[in-house]
Amino acid sequence: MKSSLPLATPAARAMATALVLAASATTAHAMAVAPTVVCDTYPDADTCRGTQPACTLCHTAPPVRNDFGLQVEAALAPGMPRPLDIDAFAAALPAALMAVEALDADGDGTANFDELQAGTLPGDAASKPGEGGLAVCEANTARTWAYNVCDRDAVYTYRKVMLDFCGRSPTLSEIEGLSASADAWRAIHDTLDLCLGGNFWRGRDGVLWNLANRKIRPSAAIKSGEDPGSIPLADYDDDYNLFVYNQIDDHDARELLTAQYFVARDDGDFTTYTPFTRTPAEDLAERGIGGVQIVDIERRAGMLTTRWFLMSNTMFTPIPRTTAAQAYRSYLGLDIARMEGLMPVANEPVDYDAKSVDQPACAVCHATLDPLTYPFTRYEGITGGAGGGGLPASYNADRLDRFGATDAPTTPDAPEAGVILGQPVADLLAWAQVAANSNEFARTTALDYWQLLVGEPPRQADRDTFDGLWQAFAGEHGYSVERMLHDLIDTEAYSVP
Amino acid sequence: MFRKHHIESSLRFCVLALLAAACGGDDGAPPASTEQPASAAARVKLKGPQRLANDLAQALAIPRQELCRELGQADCFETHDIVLGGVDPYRLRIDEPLPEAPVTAPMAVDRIALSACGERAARDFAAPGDAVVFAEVAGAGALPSTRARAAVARRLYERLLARPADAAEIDALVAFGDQLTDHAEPARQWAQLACYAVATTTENLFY
Repeated sequence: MKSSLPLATPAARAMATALVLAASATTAHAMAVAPTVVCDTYPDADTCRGTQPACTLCHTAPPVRNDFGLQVEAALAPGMPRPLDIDAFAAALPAALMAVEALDADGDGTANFDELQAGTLPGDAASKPGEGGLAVCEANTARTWAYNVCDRDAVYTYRKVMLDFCGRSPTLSEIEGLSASADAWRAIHDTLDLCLGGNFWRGRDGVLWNLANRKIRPSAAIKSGEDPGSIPLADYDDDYNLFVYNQIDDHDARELLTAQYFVARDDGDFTTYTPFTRTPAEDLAERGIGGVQIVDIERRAGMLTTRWFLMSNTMFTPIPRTTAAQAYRSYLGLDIARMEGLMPVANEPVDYDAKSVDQPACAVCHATLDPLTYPFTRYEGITGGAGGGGLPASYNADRLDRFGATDAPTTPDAPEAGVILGQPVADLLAWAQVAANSNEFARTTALDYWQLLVGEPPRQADRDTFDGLWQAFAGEHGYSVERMLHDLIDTEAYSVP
Repeated sequence: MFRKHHIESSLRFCVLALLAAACGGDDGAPPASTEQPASAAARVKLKGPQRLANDLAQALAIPRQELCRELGQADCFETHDIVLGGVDPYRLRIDEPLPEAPVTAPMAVDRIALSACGERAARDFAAPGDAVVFAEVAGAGALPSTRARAAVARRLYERLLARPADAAEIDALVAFGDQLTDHAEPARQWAQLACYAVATTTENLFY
C-alpha cells in the first residue's frame, strides 16, 4: 500500500529499532525506544495503526511512571541489575507487557490488554474503551418525520451535507425532492459535489481555509502583500492558497509538502485557484517585495518552505527546532511537545548550538527532534546575526557559517542530512517525500476531516472504518481529499443519527 | 431528542403533554405527536455563526446583512463571532472554535433570533399583502384566532426546521398567545416570539 518504508510495517519498525539500539546506553534513550517495542508486541493494537503510542502510555513525565508503567516496571527483567541498557530493556519489555495484560492498572474495569487493543490509556481511568456500536434500536415504523436512528438516514445525511459543505440547511421543498428521488443517496453525493465547488467550502475564509489556521498560524500584524500589517514581513495568503488548492478537485494532497509551485486565487462567485511557477526574480517582478517567494524552485517543499512558514517559525534560529516540530505536528499529527512521535536516533542529540539539549531529561525528545530539524537548517528565516546572511526565507547552503560566532563554534558543523520517522534523509526535499508518503500523513489528513465533519475523534467502534478511510485515501483515491469525503459521508459515524 | 423544542418558561410558553389531536386547517391534519428513540451514538455540532446566519436569512427571507445589528450599527454575527463558534486566526489568534460554548453564547443567540424575527414581523405587519411568514396574523391588531396562529405555527416549522410541526408543537405555539392579551400589540408580539421560540430550539441551533 505504501511507498518508502512506512513505520507501520514490521520492516520499518525493525529499522527504526535498529537505529536506536546501535549505540548509547542512556536511560533516556531506552525509554524512547519503548513505543516501537510496544507496537512490535501488539501490531494490531489500535494505538499502532498508522502511528505509535506516546510516552504517556507508561509515563506522566519521563522517567516518572504512571500506574501502568509501574506495573510494567515491576514485571520487567526481574532480578537483573539496574539500570538496564537499551538491549536488555528492549528484550525484556515484551514479556513484561504480556505479564500485566490481565491486570487493570487504572482500575477503570478494563484490562490493560483490552485498553492497548482499543487505543485507550491503561494508566488513565478517564480513558477507557466506549461501548460503541449501534445499540439495539427501537424501530419506529409509523410514518413520521423523525430520523431513523437504527440505520443510515438519507434526510439526516442530506441535511448534514448541506450544512457542512454548502453552509445552509435544505429547505422543506428540497427535502421533499430528495425523498421523491429515485436514488436519494446518489442525490446526496451529487449535492456534495455541488457544494465542494462553492465558496463556503473552498473560498477565502471558508471551511478549507480555516482548516489550515493551526498549520499556518497567521498574524495580521506582520502580514505583507494585500492588506499588510504594521510590520510587513511575509504574506500567508500564499500558504492558504497552496493548502486549499491541494484539498480540492482531484489534486494530490501530498503536494502540500512536495510542491515546487505556488497558487494564485481569484475571488468571485466561484473562487478559482491556479498554480504558477516563477523564479524568485520573476516573482519579484510580478508581485514586488511584499509578495515574492524567495526559495529557488528546485529547493521548494510545499508548505515547508514558504516565506511565511520560514519567517514565522525559523526567524533567527540556526537550529530551528520549532520549525521542524510545527511541520511534524501539522502534517503528521505528531506533537513532540506531548512526547508523540519520539523515534530517537543513535548518538543524538549532538547539541551543535550548545543549548544543553544533550542533558538526559532533554535528550528524551531532542534525540528525535534535532535530527528531524537538521534539514531545515539551510533555509533562512529572518536574516540577521553576524554578517547579515543571505536573503530572508531563502535556501542558503552556507547559512550556519555565521552562527559560529553568535551561538557555538560547533554550530556550523550541523549537517543538512537528518532523520524522519526512522529514515535517514539527505535534505529537506527528501524529508518532505518521506513525510508525504507516510501512514502518518494519510492518517492525519483523514483525521482532520473526520473531526471537522463528524465533530469528534473516532470512537472505538469507528476505528476500523476510520482506518479504512485513510488507507483508501492513500491507496485507491490517490490522495484525493474529495474522493475521501465521498467515502466519509457514507460512514455510520456521519450518516446514522 | 432533536425534534422537541425547549420551551422557556420565562417567555410564558405553556408546556403541553404530547397529544394526538389534529388541529385541522387548510393543509390537513399535522403529524401525530410521536416519541422518537434516542440516538445510540449522538454526535451533535453547533451550527456556528455563518450557518446560523445563512439559515435565518433563508427561512425569514431577509438579506443576511439585515438580520441583526447591535446598536443599529455592527453586524451581530461579527460582533458575537467567537462566542457563536467562529474563529479569528489573524488578530485574536483563535484558530479553531472554542471547545466549550461560553456562557454568553445563549445570550447572543437570543439577541440575534429576537432581532431577526422582529425584523420579519415588522416587514410583514408593515405590508400585510406581501407578508412572507406572518400573513394570517399580519393584518390583526388584537390577538389573532387560533386558526390563524396555527397556520403561522406550521409555516414557522416548515421554514425554520424544514419539516411539518406535530400537533403538540402547534398547540404549544398557539396557546401561549393567550397570555399576551394585555400587550399593546399582541398579534405582532406573538408573531415575533413564536418565531423566536422555533428559531432558538436545539433542533435549529445544532445538527
